[in-house]
Amino acid sequence: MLAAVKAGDIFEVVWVSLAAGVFVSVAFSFVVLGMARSAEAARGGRGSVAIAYAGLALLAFAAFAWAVGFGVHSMLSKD
Amino acid sequence: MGTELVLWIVVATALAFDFTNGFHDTANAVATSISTRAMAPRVAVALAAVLNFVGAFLSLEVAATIASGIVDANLVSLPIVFAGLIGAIAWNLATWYFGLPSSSSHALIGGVVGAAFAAEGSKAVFGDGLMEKVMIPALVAPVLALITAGTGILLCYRIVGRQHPGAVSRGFRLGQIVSGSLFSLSHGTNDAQKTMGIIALALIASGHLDTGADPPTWVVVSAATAIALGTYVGGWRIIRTMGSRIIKMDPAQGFAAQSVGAAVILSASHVGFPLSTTHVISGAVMGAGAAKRISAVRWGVAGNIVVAWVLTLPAAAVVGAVTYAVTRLFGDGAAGPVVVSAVLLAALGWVFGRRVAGGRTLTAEG
Repeated sequence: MLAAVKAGDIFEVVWVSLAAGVFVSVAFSFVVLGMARSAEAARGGRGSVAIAYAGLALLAFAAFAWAVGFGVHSMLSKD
Repeated sequence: MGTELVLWIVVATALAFDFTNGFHDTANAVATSISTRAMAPRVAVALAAVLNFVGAFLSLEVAATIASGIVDANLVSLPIVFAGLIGAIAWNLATWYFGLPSSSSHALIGGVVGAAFAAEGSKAVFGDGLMEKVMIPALVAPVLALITAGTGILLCYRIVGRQHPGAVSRGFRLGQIVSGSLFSLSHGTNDAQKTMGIIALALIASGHLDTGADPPTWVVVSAATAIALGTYVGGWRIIRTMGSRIIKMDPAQGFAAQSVGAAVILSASHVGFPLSTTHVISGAVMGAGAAKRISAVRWGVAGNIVVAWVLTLPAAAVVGAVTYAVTRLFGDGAAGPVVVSAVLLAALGWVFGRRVAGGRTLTAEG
């Protein structure tokens, strides 16, 4: 019976899911980190540092949004 | 006339199943958001309901009819589908009552397998299909989600660990709105299709629809409405279990569980190996808790959930088989499904009446 299950499929599911799950978590964590540090730097009057962290947050958010967009695309392209 | 009546009973039962599917699975999308106060409970279920409704229109993959490859489609008749649906509804209601998250898809497959087995014997059920489409995914889903969410939350803590807790919580709560929405949309595209597939199958079997044709608009609208209404009613008992009884979660854990859950489901779907949303989110919640501290997970509650998963297929199958046997007592016509439906509606009415008389309504919060 187990022969009916392709081991390759399971392996692919495992690594793709692991990679996607970790990517999304890490990307959004950098959004949170960038926003928090940017706000802190802005309060301390360190404008350039605030801009740099805001840039990090923006980049990380772009990566997160790309992952979400890819998820929606996968959802819609099932037919 | 008899076939027509059975057809409309099957359609109504399929929509009833869709409704239970919605309220049973609300927790998958909203429990973590409610638990971490990312969203107010009513707002969370309303958003989930709207996105389930929208999701039902986004994909019409009716070819993925229920139990395809698991039971012999040539042997499936309207009474088998009816009995299978009753098995699934019964299991959904039982697990909701005990606040246990379990897979509605597996319940439906179990119901149909049991009814088909009772009707046609073992030749109607494909063991390989059961192993490939139910048992292996049921083992893979929670373990994969647990490991991925555990890894995800450890990295989250590592990255944001030294920041002000207030800012971190606010950030992850915002993220949960996105991940919860993605989850609900995905649920709508997947689960409403099952009901559409069942109704389409019934329409084809009764000669009202050509094989391979898209389902009529009324089927799509009614399936979308039933799952959205069920979602809005909200299975609060399961939401409580998922949101606060397995672990007490902080917003970072809630975000990790939900986003990893969505990522795992969509990745698996992309690869062509669909996993149960319930199994995935439950595993992810346990992983997000266990990574912080093993003892943070209430393993007794987790064990009860796993027992419910193991019992889902056989329990729904038994109810499906018994329902089929009872309907056959009344012959080939509509009498069996009519009697079974009437008895079940009367039983539900009795339960509802008792709860209303006792000052409690039959809402999921009760």
